[in-house]
Amino acid sequence: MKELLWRIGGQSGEGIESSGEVLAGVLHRLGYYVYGFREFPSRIHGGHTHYTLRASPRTVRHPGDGVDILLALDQESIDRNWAEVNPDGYVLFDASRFAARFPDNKPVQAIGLPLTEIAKGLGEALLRNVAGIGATMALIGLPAAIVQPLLEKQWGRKGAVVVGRNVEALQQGWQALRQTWTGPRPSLPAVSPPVGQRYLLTGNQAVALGALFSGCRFLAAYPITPASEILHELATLLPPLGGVVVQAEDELAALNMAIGAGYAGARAMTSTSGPGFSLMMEALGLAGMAEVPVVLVDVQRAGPSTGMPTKLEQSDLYEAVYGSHGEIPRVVLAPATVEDAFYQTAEAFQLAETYQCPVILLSDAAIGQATQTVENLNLERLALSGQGEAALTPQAVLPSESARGERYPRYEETESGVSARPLPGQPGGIYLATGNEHDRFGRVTDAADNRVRQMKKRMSKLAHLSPPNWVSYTGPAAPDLVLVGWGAATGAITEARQALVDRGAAVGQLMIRGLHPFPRERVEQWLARAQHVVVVEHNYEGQLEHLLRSECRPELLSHLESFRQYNGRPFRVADILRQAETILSTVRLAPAAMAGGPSSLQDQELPAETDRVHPVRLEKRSTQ
Amino acid sequence: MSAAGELRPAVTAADYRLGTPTWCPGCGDYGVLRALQKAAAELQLVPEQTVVVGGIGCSGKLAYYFRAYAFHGVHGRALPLATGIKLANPRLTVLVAGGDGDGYGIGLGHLLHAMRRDVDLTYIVMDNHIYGLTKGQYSATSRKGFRTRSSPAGSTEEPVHPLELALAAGCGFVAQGFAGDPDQLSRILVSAIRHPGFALVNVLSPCVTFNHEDTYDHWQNALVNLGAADGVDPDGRPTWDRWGALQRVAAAQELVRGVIYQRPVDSQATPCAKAGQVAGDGRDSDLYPAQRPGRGLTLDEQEEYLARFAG
Repeated sequence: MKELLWRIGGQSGEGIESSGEVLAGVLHRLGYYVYGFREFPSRIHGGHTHYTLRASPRTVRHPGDGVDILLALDQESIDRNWAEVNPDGYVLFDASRFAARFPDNKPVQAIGLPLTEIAKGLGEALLRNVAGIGATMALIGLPAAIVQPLLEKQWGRKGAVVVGRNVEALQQGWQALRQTWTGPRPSLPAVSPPVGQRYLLTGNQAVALGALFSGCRFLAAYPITPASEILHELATLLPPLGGVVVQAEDELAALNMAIGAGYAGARAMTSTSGPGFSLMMEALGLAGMAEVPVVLVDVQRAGPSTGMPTKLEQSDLYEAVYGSHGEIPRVVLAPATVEDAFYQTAEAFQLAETYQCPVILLSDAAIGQATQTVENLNLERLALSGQGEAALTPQAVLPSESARGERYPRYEETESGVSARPLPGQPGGIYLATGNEHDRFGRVTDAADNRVRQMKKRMSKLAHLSPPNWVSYTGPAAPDLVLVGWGAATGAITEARQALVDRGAAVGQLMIRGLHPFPRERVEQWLARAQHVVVVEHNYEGQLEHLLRSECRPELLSHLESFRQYNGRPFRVADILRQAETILSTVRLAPAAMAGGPSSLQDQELPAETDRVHPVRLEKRSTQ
Repeated sequence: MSAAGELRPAVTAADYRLGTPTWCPGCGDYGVLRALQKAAAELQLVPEQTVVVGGIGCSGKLAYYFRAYAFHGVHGRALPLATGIKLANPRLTVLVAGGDGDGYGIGLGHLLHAMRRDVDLTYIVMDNHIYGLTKGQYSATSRKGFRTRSSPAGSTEEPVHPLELALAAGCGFVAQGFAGDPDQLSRILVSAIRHPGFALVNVLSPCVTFNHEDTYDHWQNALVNLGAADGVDPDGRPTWDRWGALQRVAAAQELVRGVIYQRPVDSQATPCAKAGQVAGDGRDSDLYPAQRPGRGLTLDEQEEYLARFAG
C-alpha cells in the first residue's frame, strides 16, 4: 500500500468527523501528509455522514480516487459508499450492531468487529468510533503504543478519565482486529518524523491566519456553510489584538460594515459563500465607486440559490468577475492550495489598499474545508505579499489643512488613477465618499465630461496590474497537452498530469490564480505553445473556459476543450486521465508508454482494476 | 488630538456649513440641518473627527451639506456602514441621517439590529411619510388610506410605528423632534449625541411638494410637546421607565415630541458599544490608529499563532 485511503461512515451526531480528525491528527504527527475531508448533510443530527482521510508519505491535495478501507458503523454507510470502495478493499463494520450486506459481488475483505460491544464495556457507546480507529491502525500496521502519547495530546484537555477510556477503546479495537482477521494486512510505508514545522490547516483557517498576519483588524460576516470557520477563527484571534469581529444580521450588512471599517482606515474584510455573495453585489459596486479598500472572501459551494450547501463547485466566477451593476475596478484572486489561501489573503489586503478597490478571494469548499498537512509557510514571503508595491500607496500623505469650507480633493484625477485617501480623523482631509458619480472632491454630479474623467480614473487603476505569480505553469516547454484550471480542481489536475508525465506524455498544467484583471499575456503564452488545451473545472457552463474565450486571442483557442463536473464532488483523477488520454491519442504517443512499464499506473500492491495513480508532490511554482 | 488638551478655536454652527442644499424651498430637512449644526457647535464636535453617514433619499443628502467627513452609501444600508466606521475607530463621532424609506422601509431590518447591537451612533430619521426623491409614493410610515401615485386607492398597509418599535426593541435612547422647531430638535440632538450607545431621533420633517396632509400646520397642532430633553417626562418621572414610555407613546398615537426614553447612562453599555477599542494593533496612541493596521505582529508572534495549528 503506497498510501492510506480510508473512510469512516455513520450517522451525523455520532462523532464521525471528530474521530476522523483524531486519526488525521495521529498520522499527521507521525509524519504523513494528510488530506481529510468531511462529507456531511446540511443538518445537525442524523443522516449519513462520512469523513475521508488520505495519508501519504508525499504531499496530497486531493481526497484520492475511491476508498481502500471503509469503516462502516451502520449498513447505510456500506450502501452509500459501496460504489467508491475499491475492489479488494477492506470493509470494517460494527458486527455488534448489524450483519453487513453488500450490494453486489465486488470482491472486498469484510471484517466484522464487536465495536459497540467494546464501547459499551467501557460505558460509552460512542467510543465505538475510537475502537474502529484502533482496528484501522491494527490493519495498517500502526502499533497502538506508538500513538498513545499522541492520543493523550489529542484528548488531554478533556481530562484523564476521558483519555483513559479512549486509549482503552483504541487498544481493544486494535486487539479485536488482530484476533478476528488473519488475512493479509496492507501496511503504510514508513515515514521519518517531519523536518521543519508542519501544520494541519484548512483553507479557511489559512485565510484567517493570512488576514491576521497581514493586519486585518475587522471582520463582519454572517454564518454560512462552508465559510463559517473564517468567522470562528477570527472571532478568537482578533479581539485580543484590539480587532473587531461583528456577526452581522445579513450579508448586506456584513459587506457594508466592512466597507465602513475600510473607509475608516482598518484593514477590513467579510467572508461568505454563494448566497451571501449574491446579497453583497450592490455594496460591491459601492466599494468600487467610492474607492474603498475591502476584501471579500467567497468560499464557493454548489449553487444556484441554496443549491447543495456542503458540496463543492466553482460556479461563482462569473459573479466575482462581472457581478454588480455598472462597472468597477476589482481584483479577483483564486487560491489553488491551502498555502495559496494564506499568501493570497495577504496579497488581497495589499492590493485593496494599494488600488483602493474591492478584492475578491474566490476560495471553495474543497480548499476551505479540507484539513491538510501544510509545511514551509514562509512568513517573510507573507510580509512581502502584504507590502509589495507599497510605493504606489499615496495613502495618508496629505497637504496642509485645506481651507475651511472646502473639501479635500480625494478623487483627484491622477496619472495612475489612484489618489490620496485621507482617513476620518485626519485634519484637512474632509471629503464626501459616495456611491453617486462625483467630482474630485466627492461632490455629486452627473456632468458628462466629469463622468468620463472619473470613470477613466477608476477603471484605469488596475490597467497594468499583472503579477507574474497569477499564472503558474508546470511542465515541458512544448506540451502536447496543457490542463488549465483553478482552485479546487488543482489537486486532481496535478495528480493526473504527473501520471501522464510518468507515462512519457508531454503534459503541462496551467493554474490561474488571478482571474481579474485577467492575466491575458501570460495565459496566451502557454496557449500558443500547447498542441491541445483542456480546461478542467467544477461547473456546468465552463466559466473559466468562457473567460479564456473572451479574453484571449481567438486563434489561440481553436484547440481548446473543456472537462467539467458539477455533481458537487471532487474530480476523480482517473476521469481527468481518461479525458486527457482521449485527446492525447490524437497526438503521437509512444505505445510503450501507454502499455505499462516501471512508471505505469499499475501498482503491484493494488488490484489491477483500479485506475488510481500515485500521489505526487505538488511542485514548487516554477513559472516561466 | 483634542482629548490631549490641545487648544482649538471654538467651533460655531457656521463651521459645519458646506455647499448649498438643493432641497425644495420649505422642506423640513433645512430645519434638521440647522438643528444639527447648532447641536454640533454646542458639543464642539471637531469636524475632522466627525463622520456623517447618509442614506439614499432627499434626507440622506444632509451628509453633503454638513461639513465633516461624510459617506453617502447605498439605499437602506446607512446603519451597517456607520457601524463599521464607528467600530473601526470609536474615537470618531458618527451621525447617521436618512429618511423613512431608507430607515423604516428598505433598511428596517438593520435598524432593529443596530438598536440591539447598541453601537454608539446617532440615527436621525427625517420622517415625511412619503417617498419624495422618487416623486411621491407611499412610505412605510404613511397612514392607512393615504393616496399616492403608487396607492391610488389609498394605502392598505398598517404604518410602521417607529417609536413603539424602538422602545419594544430596547433602544437605549428614543426621541422625536419636529423640523418646525429646530431649537427643541437641537436640544434633543445634543442629548442623543451625548448618549453613549445607539440613539434614534425620529424627526417629523414635512415634504412640502408631495405630502399635502402631513404639513407643518398639521404637526404643529397635533404634536404634544414633552418638553425639555433632560431625562424627565412632563410629570417629572424619569424617562427610563420604558414600559411607561411605551404606553404614553402608544396612547398618543406617537404624536409627541421630545425625549421619550433614555436608558440610564453608563448602566448597561453592551460589549459592542463598550469595545472602545480601535481596530489597530493597540500599540500606539496615534490619532488615527486604524490606519496602522497591526503590521506590528512580529515573526515570532506569528510563529506562536501558527503553532496552535501544529496538529
